[in-house]
Amino acid sequence: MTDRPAPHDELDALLEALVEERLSDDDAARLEALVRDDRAARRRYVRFIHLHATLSRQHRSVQLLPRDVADVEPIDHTTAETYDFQTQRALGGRPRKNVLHYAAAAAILFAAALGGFWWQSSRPGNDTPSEWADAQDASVTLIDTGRAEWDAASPAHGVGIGEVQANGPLVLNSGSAEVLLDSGVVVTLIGATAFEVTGANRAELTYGAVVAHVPPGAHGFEIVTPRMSVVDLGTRFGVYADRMGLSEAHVFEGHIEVRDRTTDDATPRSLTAGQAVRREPASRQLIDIAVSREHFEPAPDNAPEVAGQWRSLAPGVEGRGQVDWLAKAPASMRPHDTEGKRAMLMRERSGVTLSEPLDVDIDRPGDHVNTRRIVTAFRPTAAVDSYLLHFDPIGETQGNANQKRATLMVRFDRPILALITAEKTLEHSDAILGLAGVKYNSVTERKRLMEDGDFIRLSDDRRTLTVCMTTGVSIDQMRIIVEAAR
Amino acid sequence: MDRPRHDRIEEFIPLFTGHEARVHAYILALLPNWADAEEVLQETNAVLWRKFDEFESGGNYFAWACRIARYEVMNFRRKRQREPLRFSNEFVDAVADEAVEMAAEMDAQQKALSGCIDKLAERDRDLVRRRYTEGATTKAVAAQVGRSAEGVYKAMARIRAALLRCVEHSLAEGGPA
Repeated sequence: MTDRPAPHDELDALLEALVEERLSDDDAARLEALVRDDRAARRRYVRFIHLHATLSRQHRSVQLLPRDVADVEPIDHTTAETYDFQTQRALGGRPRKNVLHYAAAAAILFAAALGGFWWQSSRPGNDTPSEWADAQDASVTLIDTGRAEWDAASPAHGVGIGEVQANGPLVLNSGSAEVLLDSGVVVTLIGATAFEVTGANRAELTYGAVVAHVPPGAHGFEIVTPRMSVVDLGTRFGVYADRMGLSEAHVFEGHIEVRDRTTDDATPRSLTAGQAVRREPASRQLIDIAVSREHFEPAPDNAPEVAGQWRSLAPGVEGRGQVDWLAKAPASMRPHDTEGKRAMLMRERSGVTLSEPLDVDIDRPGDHVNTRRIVTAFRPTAAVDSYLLHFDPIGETQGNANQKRATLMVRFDRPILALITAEKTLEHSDAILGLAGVKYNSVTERKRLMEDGDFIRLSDDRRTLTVCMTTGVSIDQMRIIVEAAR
Repeated sequence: MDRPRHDRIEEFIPLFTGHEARVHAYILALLPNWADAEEVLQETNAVLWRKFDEFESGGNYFAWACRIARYEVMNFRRKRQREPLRFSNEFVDAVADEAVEMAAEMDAQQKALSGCIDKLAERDRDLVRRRYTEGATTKAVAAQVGRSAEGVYKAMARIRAALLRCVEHSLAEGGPA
């Protein structure tokens, strides 16, 4: 493509600043005026944002299905016609051992949409309904995980080690997982990855990275990506596919055969240990590249190490690391009134029923490390208890060099429903979940958690929090909302 | 609120998956901040399913979804009134109307974009991949590719402009790139 000056220089510069988050308030006002008052500018704005959204979605995890839909089961597992979401055709009424979950089926479509249009158009012609049905009889067993975070729609979500999983795409958002196939092949998935066993000795990698270890009896095991087919000839190999059509195969032991899936007459390439090839989206050639384990190493775990053993803090609450129980609430939480070397946890209100939605900052498990703030309206149907985690280091320190840190874990015997970590949401919830008679901190005294090296992890079972609080002149606080004790 | 009948899920899922990307882009146009738009998208998706019984089979799903998304955007803005809003309601209304009118064009743009990405030089394609990877920052990408952050900003501006030109050219010729 050639580059030539566009007739929308000012508008384009503003749009670039918008998507790169460099737009000043003056720029925003100018952009608003242009877009609001000039239809041509408005149309260009819509085109530009659409382009940005499409590029972004090809590389990001986006909410798949409303949770309510994922919970819906097919009407009748044994007599209803099964539905092929790839072809959007009924496959017949054969009773099946495992019925494809609706959410998992939608995940296939959705992953295909994320993977790009070539994926839909280049699916092999031999994915017949009968092969599809055969795939339902194959099973995989989860044999190990490394902080695996499965997509809620994936059939692996909630499955324990040693358990056989229902069929469907294994969508791993982060961490790693090892699965055993019926054939004896062991596949390690490194998140974010979408991988599916589609036959007795065949699997599809929609995006992400996997390493396959193939025992002698399973030679011929094939992994296909949207543009590449990799057939094992006795080996351990890695396959990587991104969401824009790039595929790579890396041989760590033994040898494999690789071919381009988008042409019928592609000559297979044989690769041996220490060799790797890449298939670019625009090219029909397999390019030799240096073998690498870069894609096949799980991302480092950012959680801080928490020293010490678990100890009881209060009935139903345990703590580990730099946290103590504050049995009696102080009259004031203001600076200097509650200083300490360690963080303090205290109970606030019990059995509160929220009469209207409450703004919270975190309402889902996972790691929360960035400064992005997504406030969610939270309104549980049952009553809740609230606790306050408070860290006010001794002395008034200034500057990053003097910041103090508290690293700790707390564990409840009930699910943690939500966390409030920001100054404004804390202030708003003081009146609802805070203790009467306690003088809480002002917005300016509190520092927003999840910045300056702060870290919060809410475990998948919602009972354990891992927290690293870092602060200097301000106070770090977090309000923890848990299911009310019975 | 009652959930839609189970037998309508087979109708809902293809419509949902077929249009969600465009609904997301529509929300992002009305609320041009990725995190905010993602939050509204999640709420919109939930409402689309809850209200699916109100959608008439064979009707214009995208237009219906946009009406709900627009309501959710305005609801989100109302809740955020404690914080300064960057764009006015007039701006949101003007963009919302235009974006619905451009639905068919955006559908064609999405199809054409694949061919346009293939036409980029490998170095540019690599930069797009790195920049749009979740969690990537321009500074991090600049360090990865050995360029200055300003250089990456300029390169991304040039690439997006080239992609837009390619898509427009493709649509003017009446087919995918």
